[in-house]
Amino acid sequence: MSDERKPTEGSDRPSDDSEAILSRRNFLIEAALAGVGIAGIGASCEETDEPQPRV
Amino acid sequence: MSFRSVAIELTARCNQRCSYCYNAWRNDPDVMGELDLDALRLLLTDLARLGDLRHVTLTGGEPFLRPDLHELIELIAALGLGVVIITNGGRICAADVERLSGYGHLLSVQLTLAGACAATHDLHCGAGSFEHVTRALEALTKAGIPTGGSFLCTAQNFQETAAIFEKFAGYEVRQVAFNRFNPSGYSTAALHELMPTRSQVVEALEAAERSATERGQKVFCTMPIPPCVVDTQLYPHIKFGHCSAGAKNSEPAIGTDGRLRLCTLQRDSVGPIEVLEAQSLTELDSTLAFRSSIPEFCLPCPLAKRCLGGCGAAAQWVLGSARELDPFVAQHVMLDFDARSRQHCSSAKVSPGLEGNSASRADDE
Ligand code: SF4
Ligand code: SF4
Repeated sequence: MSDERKPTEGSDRPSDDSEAILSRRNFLIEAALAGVGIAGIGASCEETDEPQPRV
Repeated sequence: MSFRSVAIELTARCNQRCSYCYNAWRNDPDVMGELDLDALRLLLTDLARLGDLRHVTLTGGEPFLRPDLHELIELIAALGLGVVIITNGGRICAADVERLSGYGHLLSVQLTLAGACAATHDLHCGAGSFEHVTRALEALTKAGIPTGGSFLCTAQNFQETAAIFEKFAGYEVRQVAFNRFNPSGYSTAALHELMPTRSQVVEALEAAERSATERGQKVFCTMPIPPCVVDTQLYPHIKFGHCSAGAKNSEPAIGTDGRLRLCTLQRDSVGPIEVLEAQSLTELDSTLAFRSSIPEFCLPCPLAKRCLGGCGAAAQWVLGSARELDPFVAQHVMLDFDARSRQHCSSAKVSPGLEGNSASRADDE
């Protein structure tokens, strides 16, 4: 959803962090459409599960 | 039963008031009840009977406020189960250290640093807490008790990541949990002060990766850092994960009321542990509902089925529903994040401190 951006305070422009997340999500989507496997798109965390949440 | 590990919240009482605490009920007079040793014995026997339990995490509140803690540890060890104690270290005395040293690798203790110096750590945990935790680190590691570290990464301490990892290394702590702040329970009141941005977490991950490479520390992320936030391949020495709530490898939580939750951060219970007599944890309606809650933002993402959009428990606390995006991601991509999170999180100011401070609870709804 390209409209879901959080503008930098006092500005209409999306912050660098917003851009980074949106562009990486798009990269993941495009790579999947191109048939690239999970390992190929750098999602290594898919191989492991979260250790216990300890706070 | 389908889980090997369980977290038992032994008490709602705590000697500290950490700003990042996930508990919803900390020192709440309404939930000050706790399971006594007999009830815990029954609970553990039931859990051992129901399935393949191998490991128990003892947490709270502060476990060392329980006068019967050592009897409980003996009971768990007698069942052949491993035990991890999550503590702030403030109530560990020399006699405790001596008793804990008799279990070899069956027992370990985990301590959290939220700063490399007293000023920063105490900003999160209250005056005097840095001295307490470092004294405990020193005593436990000197006695040869397996000790793990937890680095709680917030907007107030991310610049100290390298120094915090160095500090742990100084005590020869080899396993460190990289625990990026995840708002839930009490800590939702401090959301806007504590939540690190993506850039701040990236800076902290870079420092943690350098430390893991140079010192051979084992670093694992306890809270999800979704693959759209960082390219996890850039940090080969850090283990990333995704939400395990209700999954085969999960660690469900048992509250001071004896009721089961899918993990410690979950707000709602799924019932008494007897619900597991009829169905395994992975098959419960609540598990299926929780794990099928994919946020709208994630629907086109190929990783959604496993990532689930990050932490659904935090999404429920901060945005009102587990179907929402993890607040750590949402802060950057949800246009009305500030307004919506303020609706659900208490705006009460958290004043970290030691016991005696009164502090307000997170607003539940
Ligand atoms: S709900 Fe959040 S804290 Fe609980 S297991 Fe999932 S990611 Fe971890
Ligand atoms: S499922 Fe959502 S949070 Fe997870 S990587 Fe994909 S877009 Fe990001």
